[in-house]
Amino acid sequence: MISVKDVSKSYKDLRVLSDVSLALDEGEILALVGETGSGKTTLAYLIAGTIKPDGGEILFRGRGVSDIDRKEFAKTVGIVYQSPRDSISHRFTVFETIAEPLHIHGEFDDESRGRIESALREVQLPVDEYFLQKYPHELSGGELQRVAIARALIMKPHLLIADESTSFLDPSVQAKVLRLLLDLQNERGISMLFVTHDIGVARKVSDRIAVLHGGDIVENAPAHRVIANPEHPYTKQLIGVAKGGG
Amino acid sequence: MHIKPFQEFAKDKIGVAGLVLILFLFTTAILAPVIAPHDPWDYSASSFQQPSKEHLLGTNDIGYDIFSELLWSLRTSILFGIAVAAITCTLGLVLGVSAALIGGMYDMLVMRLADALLAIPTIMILILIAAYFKPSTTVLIIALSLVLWQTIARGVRAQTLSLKTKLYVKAANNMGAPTSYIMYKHIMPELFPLYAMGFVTKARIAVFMEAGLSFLGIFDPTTKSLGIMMSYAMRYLYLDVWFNWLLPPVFALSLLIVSLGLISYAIEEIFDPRLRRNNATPI
Repeated sequence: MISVKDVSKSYKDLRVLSDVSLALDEGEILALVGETGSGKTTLAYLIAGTIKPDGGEILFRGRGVSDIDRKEFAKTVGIVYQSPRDSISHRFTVFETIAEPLHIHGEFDDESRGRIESALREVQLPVDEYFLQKYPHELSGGELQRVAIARALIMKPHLLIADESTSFLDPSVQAKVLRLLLDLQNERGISMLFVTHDIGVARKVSDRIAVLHGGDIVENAPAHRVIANPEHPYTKQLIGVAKGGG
Repeated sequence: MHIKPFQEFAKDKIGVAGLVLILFLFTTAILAPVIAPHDPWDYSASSFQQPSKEHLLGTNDIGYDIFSELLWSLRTSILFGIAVAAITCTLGLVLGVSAALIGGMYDMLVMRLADALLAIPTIMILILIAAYFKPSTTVLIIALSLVLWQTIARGVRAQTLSLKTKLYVKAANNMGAPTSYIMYKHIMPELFPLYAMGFVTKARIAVFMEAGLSFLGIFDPTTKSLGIMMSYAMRYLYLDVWFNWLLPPVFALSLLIVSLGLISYAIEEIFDPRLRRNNATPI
């Protein structure tokens, strides 16, 4: 579905990605693993079409992402960010937050309330008026991240990008949100790009793992193989850290 | 943290007091043509009459009713304050937001112009403008607005630059939102505190400046103004007219400035959690 070919990206003099190539199949969960500053979020945003590469090309179902109308392409990609407290406006209620993509794409109508309630049920949140009118500061981190997931899925995207979506949550909530993401992906059959620094989490959720290190993809293989037979020393190091071996 | 500004304002006794005062003055100013007992541009009695039922504050040196003059002068001050505040804030908002969004050379030009205006004393510019043009109310409203926008623009620009980096703004952009949507839904509402605060502050400055300029004679002499009233009353202080001629415009002007000050204090307190009294930690 997504094909990244020899993509490079720099911010001023800092080269973040160097000739990166990657593919994401329909319905597949690909975990993009790397340390902070390895370029994984940049690669995710390049795939989402929100930033442009300096070189190379990104194809969505055979068409160049840069050739597709940005607003139209935005409908096909849902993003769940690391911190729901930062990614959701403090002035928006739950209802307004989930309705935002509908407003942006001119699809807000009489049936929207039903769509929003359905999205809330999918993420296992209440649909009563009291909850719909709550503001972010009245919700827990887990609830807020579920609202963010509902917002990402309301336009029925083909690709869901989870950018460190569970790293800000408590371990118990983290597990529940991960389970929810996997269930939703499974039910809808959408592709998912799971960006994380934790290879342990990547192993649990993904079909395939791509390891980014210093702007290059140093490992890209099925998850079980990466964990069982890591080839690159950096991957071995990550697995060692995840196992608590340092 | 989410703030409901109107509910918070309703709870703020100082703000409500200021609002009640300003509404009283505003209503009086609007109703001036109806409630003024005499034509303030025409003789209604002989000069220097003491206050009476017919002339509540007496008459001035040329037999005009002082109370009627006061009501019409208040009208001028309020009109001046609102007009200058509205133009200044709109100019500041447009220039500040556009500088932050467009950036580059445009941003640099706008900010250098703002710096230059901050460095030059406003009163000097106004005196020069008044000397060159006929200092009518409209000319002075425009002139004052053109020299007062810079602080609003600087604040708005800084706030917009900060908002641009917020994740929820980026998220809206990533959802495909056009700039107009981001401006309307995310940037403008966040700028409301700055705008509200700026509006009240600039109205207060404008009211004071109008009185000051007209006191100095840099104003249309045919317009009724609190400053002109004070200026004329000062000339006849030896006749002991201070309490019925000088004091009323001074009191009206003070009341107007104090009421705007109270509102501005309340707005600042609502939007700055550090200033909230109920948030204060007991020592």
